[in-house]
Amino acid sequence: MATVIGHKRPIGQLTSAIEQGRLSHALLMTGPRGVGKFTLACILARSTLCHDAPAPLKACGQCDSCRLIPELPDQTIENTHPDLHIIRKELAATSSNSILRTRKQLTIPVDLIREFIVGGQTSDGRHHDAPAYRTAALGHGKVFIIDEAELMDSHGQNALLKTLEEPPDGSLFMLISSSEDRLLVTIRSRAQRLGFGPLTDSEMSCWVDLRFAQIDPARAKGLLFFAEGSPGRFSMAERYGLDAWVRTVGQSLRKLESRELDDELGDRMAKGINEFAEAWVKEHVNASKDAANRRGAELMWSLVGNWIRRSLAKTVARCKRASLPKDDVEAEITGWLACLEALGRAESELASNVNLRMVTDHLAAGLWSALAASDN
Amino acid sequence: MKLVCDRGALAEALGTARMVVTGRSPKPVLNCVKLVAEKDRLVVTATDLEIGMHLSTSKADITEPGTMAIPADKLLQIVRESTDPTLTIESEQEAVHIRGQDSHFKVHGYSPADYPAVPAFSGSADFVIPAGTLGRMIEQTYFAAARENSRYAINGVLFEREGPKLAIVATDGHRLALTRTVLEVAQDPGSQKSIVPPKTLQLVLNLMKDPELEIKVRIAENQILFQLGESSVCSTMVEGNFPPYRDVIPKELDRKAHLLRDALLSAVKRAALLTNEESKGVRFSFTEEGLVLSSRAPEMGEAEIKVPLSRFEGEPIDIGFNPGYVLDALKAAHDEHITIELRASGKPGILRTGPDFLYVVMPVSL
Amino acid sequence: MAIRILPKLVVNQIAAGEVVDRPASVVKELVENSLDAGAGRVDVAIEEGGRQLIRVADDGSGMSPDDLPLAAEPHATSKLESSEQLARIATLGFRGEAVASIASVSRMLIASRAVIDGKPAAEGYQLQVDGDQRSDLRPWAGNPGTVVEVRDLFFNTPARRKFLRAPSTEFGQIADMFARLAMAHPQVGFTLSHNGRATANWPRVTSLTQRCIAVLGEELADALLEFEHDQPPRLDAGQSASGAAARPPRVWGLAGLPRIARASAKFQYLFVNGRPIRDRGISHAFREAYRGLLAADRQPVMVVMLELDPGQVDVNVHPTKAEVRFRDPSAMHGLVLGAIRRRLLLTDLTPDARVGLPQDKWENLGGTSISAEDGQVEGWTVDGAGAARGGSASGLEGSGSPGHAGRGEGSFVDRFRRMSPSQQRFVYEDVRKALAESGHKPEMDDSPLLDHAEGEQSDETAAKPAVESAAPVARPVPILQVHKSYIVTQDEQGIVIVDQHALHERVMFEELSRRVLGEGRPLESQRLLMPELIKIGARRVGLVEELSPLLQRLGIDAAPMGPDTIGIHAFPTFLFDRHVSAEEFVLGLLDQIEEGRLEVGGQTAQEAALHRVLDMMACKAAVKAGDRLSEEELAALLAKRQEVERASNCPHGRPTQIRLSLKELEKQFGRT
Repeated sequence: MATVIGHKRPIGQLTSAIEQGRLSHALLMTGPRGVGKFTLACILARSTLCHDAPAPLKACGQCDSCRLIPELPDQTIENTHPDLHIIRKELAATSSNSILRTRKQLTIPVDLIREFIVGGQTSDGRHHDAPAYRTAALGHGKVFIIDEAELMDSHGQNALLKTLEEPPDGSLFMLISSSEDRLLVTIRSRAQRLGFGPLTDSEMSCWVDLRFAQIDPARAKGLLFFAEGSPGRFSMAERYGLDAWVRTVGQSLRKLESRELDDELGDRMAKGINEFAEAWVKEHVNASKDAANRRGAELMWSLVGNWIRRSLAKTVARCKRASLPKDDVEAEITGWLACLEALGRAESELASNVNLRMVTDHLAAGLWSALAASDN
Repeated sequence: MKLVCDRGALAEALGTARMVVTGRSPKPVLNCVKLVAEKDRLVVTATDLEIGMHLSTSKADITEPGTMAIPADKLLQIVRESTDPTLTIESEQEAVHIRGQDSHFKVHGYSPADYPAVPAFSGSADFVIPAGTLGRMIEQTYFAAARENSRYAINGVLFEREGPKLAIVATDGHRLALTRTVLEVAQDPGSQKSIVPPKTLQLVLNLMKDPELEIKVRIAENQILFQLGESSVCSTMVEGNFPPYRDVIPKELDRKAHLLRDALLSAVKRAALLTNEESKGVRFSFTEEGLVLSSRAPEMGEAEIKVPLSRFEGEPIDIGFNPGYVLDALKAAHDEHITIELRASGKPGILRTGPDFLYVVMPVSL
Repeated sequence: MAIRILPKLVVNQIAAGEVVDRPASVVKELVENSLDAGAGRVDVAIEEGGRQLIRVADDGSGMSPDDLPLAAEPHATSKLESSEQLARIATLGFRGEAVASIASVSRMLIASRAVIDGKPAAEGYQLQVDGDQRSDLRPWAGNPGTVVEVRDLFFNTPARRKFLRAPSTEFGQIADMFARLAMAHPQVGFTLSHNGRATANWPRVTSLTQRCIAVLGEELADALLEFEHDQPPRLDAGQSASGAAARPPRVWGLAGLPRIARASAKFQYLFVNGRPIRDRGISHAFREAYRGLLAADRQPVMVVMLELDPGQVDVNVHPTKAEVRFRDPSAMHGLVLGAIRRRLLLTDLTPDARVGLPQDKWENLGGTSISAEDGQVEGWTVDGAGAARGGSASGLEGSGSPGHAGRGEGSFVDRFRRMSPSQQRFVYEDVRKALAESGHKPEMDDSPLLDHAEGEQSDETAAKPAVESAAPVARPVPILQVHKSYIVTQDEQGIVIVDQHALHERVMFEELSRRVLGEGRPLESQRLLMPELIKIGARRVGLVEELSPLLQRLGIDAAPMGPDTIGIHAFPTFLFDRHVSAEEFVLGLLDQIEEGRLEVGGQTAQEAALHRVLDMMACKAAVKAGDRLSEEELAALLAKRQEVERASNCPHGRPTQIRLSLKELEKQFGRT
């Protein structure tokens, strides 16, 4: 258990349910991206499939089953355990349907649910046996984890419904989602819900110490900008060297603090996002550039958002310390709030497919004018 | 690992292995077959995590035992395209060399330690059955299994054993095929049930070369294992409860026709020529004079074919059947004489041949 | 014909009611009077939507100074003398109220110079009526004929005046009414102006067709099919009210091609004996005639003129004579339906595809018109046969309907999108690839187990035979399946592109309805060994019992098996063959009924419901885009086009095929 940090509530719920032997056949784990839902699901899976589990959420580490699942699973875990079925959009690359294999992976299509869980005829006319209705190869149950479950369209969710309602013997289904509102009510009502929240700052630094023991503290500090209580995002920022953004974009942002408009701010943000997206697409076969752009922008916005929030906090603190004239402070606070609004605008612009470069330029201009206005 | 192997035998084993190794797994080792060179034989191991098999050949001369995981599709292509009678296979760290008279391939492989464990047939068999008998029983049933029924259990084929009596049953909800045998060598007196995926059965059929071969079968808690000589197949089973098939076999059918299989087969084929998408059925009219098949396809025409009956008992009856279902049964019937038993035009009929094969088919309302 | 005060008896027989409710009805009454007076030309001028002025001038027979004052008298008419005549009314405005009613709510000037025995009278006279005040007759120096000016309509009934809509709305109604009147009278010239601006000028012509096209818009000319039918339907001769032998009814009309269909029924014009009317039964016949050719929210453009023995129709059921009552409504329905449908069946409704680049843009493209860049053919458009492009005087502009093609250069692409959203690509490279593939026949493997094992090969075996038992037809023309979705072939006129799903759906639908609706036989159904249990909820179990007669005709045997469960004991064979799940189908059907999208009560509703359900079945069972078809299946499917009615559109009205004509190809390749 040393590997799971935080999430006391969902872990407590799971532990007591297992102890009392009333663990539901279907779990819905929801919460922000990258906080550890998938990791916990894998730990539960490992323990469930273990031939000799010593305690809830623990595994013996010795049996035939444990040897097939890494002790510390991460997102890159493969389907090598015959009774652990991880379903995610990337699984399309291994579909028997060549159209699915080559298509951009934006959703979990119903065909994938049929081929890898519930069986039936897929749109290419092929018939599939239902893996969910096969006996467990190792004889200690079967676990299905559906990551980013909200990416199932309604056909896919409906196809799954019957199986969730009457799950085959000894099977456990875990649906993982960061936007549970995109799941059908009928799906949600059939699953026991476990809510996950972001980690606290101390939990985050504890996690960093554990997983990135060797990291340069200054770098870690920069990376924590992006994390927002999500270890997953920290790892991603680390992997793609996003701390460089703190230098480039951060420099421009600092100029803004002294009301100096850096012409390159918009350009730097766009470049950062774009470089991230390109690296991402390169590493992920069939990944969609658009989706990667959005992911990159999300990270960029958290950098900017973090900066705004911290500046806001500083302003408030300063005003408490040195009782400044009330109007001055109010103007400054209004300026920072306007910055947050500009960021919100950028988010929605990107969601409506406005050109990335335009969004970042608009954001840079928005930030500047918000702050410049507050000075007058 | 170093060996010289008969190319034909290796190609055959790899061809069968390819039926489970799809080559699409994100984990490269799962796209491999594992070659195990033992003292006097070569074993090809393959698995898709649901079905696993060990295919063994003694047509190999082992100079140095060892083991290696090699991408299945590449290896198969190399072996198939080669023209040499034998090939030399030699491992060198994580690669193998495959040499023929005029060729040399070096293929990168994977550590066999990463290859998933494939259970071998161990312990005693629950029953033993000649390949010829098991083959007939599979062929007489598996075609009737459902393909995508939401009642998942009937997507598999039921093996049911009570002491020495073995029944194999498959149904898709429209018809049911049942075949029985009495095992000569039945060790275990108890009873067992297992629902086997049709794909597994097809693999087993594929491996049956010698009808005299005694096949050992073991039904474990989650798996069914077949031992065919030196080779073995293990497979997960289908979960769930097979519907109580005895309840749907109608009793007290008062009309009974005796006729010859080939005559009916040819007649049904011909009657099926004049059916179309929305009217598939063929009308079967039984009287003491004989059987008349008639069909009709709007705008195409009509057909009427007479089939002599050796004997007919009971009142005349008209009933519609999907010709495809009748043909399936006739193809599976291994006997020249068949009987058809009926009660009413909306009720199921039974086709029987010999003491072992029974086929229930539901009628079509024309 | 002189004007008389109607006998009291006749007055009582005439339904009292409001004749004049808005400017359009004033126009209607006045124009009809002009037409009755034998006018060769009617000029209508409107100001402020008729609120300020309605002026109708004709060159008809006019009125003598004796008749003129009577014209504004209630229940004065020159057309009706006794109640017997009510049964045989051949002229338009038979009731006297009209002019009097108008006069009573406006300031009206009637001026007329009579024509007696073909010679204009020496002078004319005029009369001013303001509400209930009337002036004396004064001489009037106008042309022969009559001029009626209605000013300040409803000046003395402020409530009424308040209810008038905006001038443009009122004028729209006037224009519509005017168009209807003009259509029925091609031999009369019509002009209409609003606030001094001419909006219609239809000179006298010799044929109804010419006039209708003038009114509907010249650009629709080749999208209209003329039809005529004068075989008498089977009418009982004894029904003729007068006892005299009834004149056989006659239908004439213009039917718009599906592609110019509209979102509303506004462009449907029905006339009975020259009188524009509305009739629900006949409107239904219009829809029925186009069933399967139009999407549910589309209405065909129609002009229908019925000529009946006056005894066969009662015009006296509605004060403004906008409705009539047929003595035998179902015969009329059948007559109209039959006439339109026969005409449509005679027509090749395949829309033409056109590579929509004007000649002068050709050079700029450097010789390529097909851009393979993103898998779409750019610059294609579906030809409205030169029709429906741009606006028209009669207000047809801006309908922008899906059936209304040719709005822009890109609409071929739009159309392809509509035909199958998932398969829009039509790239040269793919055509070539498909050509190469079609050279060899994929090996068919009949072992049902194999496609589990052999991943790639089952692509070929996956598609179920669509038309499997149909004998392969030896056709010399090449047939090619593109993207497993479209079939490309040729006919005498060019290249034909067929949507395989849409065509198969239509073929199945026709076959099913021939059996169920035509022959009255239930669908063939397979009985089940064990009933398939479907949980539908207690509330719906009763519904299923109610539906049982309908389900029986569809070959579905369903019976309650518990408080909230039904069991399916039999289900249509062809749906099983096409892997349609009984559960999904039955639940879908119940949803439709519960949501009110499918009416099942009553005899006619049941027929309609059967239609709908057969349509659902055909759609579910038809081959899908993405199903590979063998050469035999392709040929058999295409061959079915000839056998099936309305093969040009799928049951939802989408086209099943489009044509790229040789003419168009020649043009595009610069060969002409």
